[in-house]
Amino acid sequence: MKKISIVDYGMGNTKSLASSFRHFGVDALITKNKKIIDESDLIILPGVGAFPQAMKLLKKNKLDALLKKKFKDGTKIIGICLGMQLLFESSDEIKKTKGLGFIKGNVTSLKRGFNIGWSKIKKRNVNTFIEKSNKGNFYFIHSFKCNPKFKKVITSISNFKGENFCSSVSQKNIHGFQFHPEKSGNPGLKIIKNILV
Amino acid sequence: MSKIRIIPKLDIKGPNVIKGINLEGLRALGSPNKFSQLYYEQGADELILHDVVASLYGRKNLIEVINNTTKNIFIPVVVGGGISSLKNIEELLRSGADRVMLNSICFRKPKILKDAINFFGGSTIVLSIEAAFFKDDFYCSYDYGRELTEIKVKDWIEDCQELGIGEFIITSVRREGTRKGFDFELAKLVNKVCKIPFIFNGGYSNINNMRSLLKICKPTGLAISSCLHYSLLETNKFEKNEIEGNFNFVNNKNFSYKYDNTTINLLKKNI
Repeated sequence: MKKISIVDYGMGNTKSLASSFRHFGVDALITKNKKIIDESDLIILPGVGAFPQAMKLLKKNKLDALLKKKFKDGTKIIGICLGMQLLFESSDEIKKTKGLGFIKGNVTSLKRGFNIGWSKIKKRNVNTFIEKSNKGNFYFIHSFKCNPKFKKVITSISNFKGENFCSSVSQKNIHGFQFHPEKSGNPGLKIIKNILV
Repeated sequence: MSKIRIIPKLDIKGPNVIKGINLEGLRALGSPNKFSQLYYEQGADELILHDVVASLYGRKNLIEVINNTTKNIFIPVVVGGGISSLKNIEELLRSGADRVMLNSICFRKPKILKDAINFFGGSTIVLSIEAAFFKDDFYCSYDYGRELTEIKVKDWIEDCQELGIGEFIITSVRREGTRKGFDFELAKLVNKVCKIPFIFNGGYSNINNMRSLLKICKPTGLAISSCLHYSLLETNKFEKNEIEGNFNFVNNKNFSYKYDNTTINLLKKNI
């Protein structure tokens, strides 16, 4: 049985994520207990909120150091929405702030404001949790985007008012989704299911 | 480019979904769980749960409702009603809400808006504007339309969109619950001043009326209650918590005037 932790650092729709795992009969722990997170096979880093505040809270709970350790020992880590952005080196949101730095690149604002709603994703890479015949729409809610330095980590791109942006990434044990698979109906649940395999 | 979202709005009082006209004369309709589940299965893009008396009854009830309602719903859920602190927002997000809707508190403690945006991010905060027409202009009201302010809707939109809010939900109080068509006058005003995403609400009547609205303004979402709720009631049996609420209306199927049978699919096809 896999042990799954949803990192609870005070920001994020942790309950919604847990419900989506529960849908497949899997219990994930919503926790900030370092021992439990350290022993997990799968770590979910959620995030609803502002980048500087999120980093501040991760640091306050010393979770940044723990996540770095897990990154190095090869544990599967999945960042969702702001959680994906935190995987990068830095963000311009509110004030320039350092991120976890697992993936090379930065986070900058979208050109045309908030992207709220359902959009398609175009798959770019075979090695992901995204289904091959991927026709559904996914729920996005963000005004910042990730700019990976190396294009090979990009697993899908999406478009908002004419601007293409990276909507998911994979780099060895680290994966990120800008959209919310746990909030994207059946197409999203398929991704959750693939993550659990 | 995202499509316009169709967002059923569930007004909640105690254990039941309720519906009024012009935010008054509330009728109990049934359990929020089943309404939510059916809307999810029909393909709703998002749900709004609005506890219309949260500030009077305390928050425990709302938390319980969200906990139960969101268990099997895998679309975004916006929750509002009586939010008065950052702590409240955190509680709601922990209970299954994905975004929160603020209104009253922004007039009582304006600073909370800025704080909430800084802490939870602009995209988590939906600012609700209950636009009431008075004499010759729209003014902001709050507490489910019970209190009228002297702040003009156009000024409030202009001030608040500067702060970095992700989205407004703008309700026409005079059309709300009437099924008499969207408020085009309000739509014109919003179209003129609003530069950020907004959900438009109040008065959905039929497809043609909706199309006319979309020629006047470009919302990111449409919130709809009465037509969807009553259409569901025609064809489904609902668990009712009759300890509270007046169910005479629903039990007698005394739906006062005709309306088009409305499903989410139908709306999406015609948008």
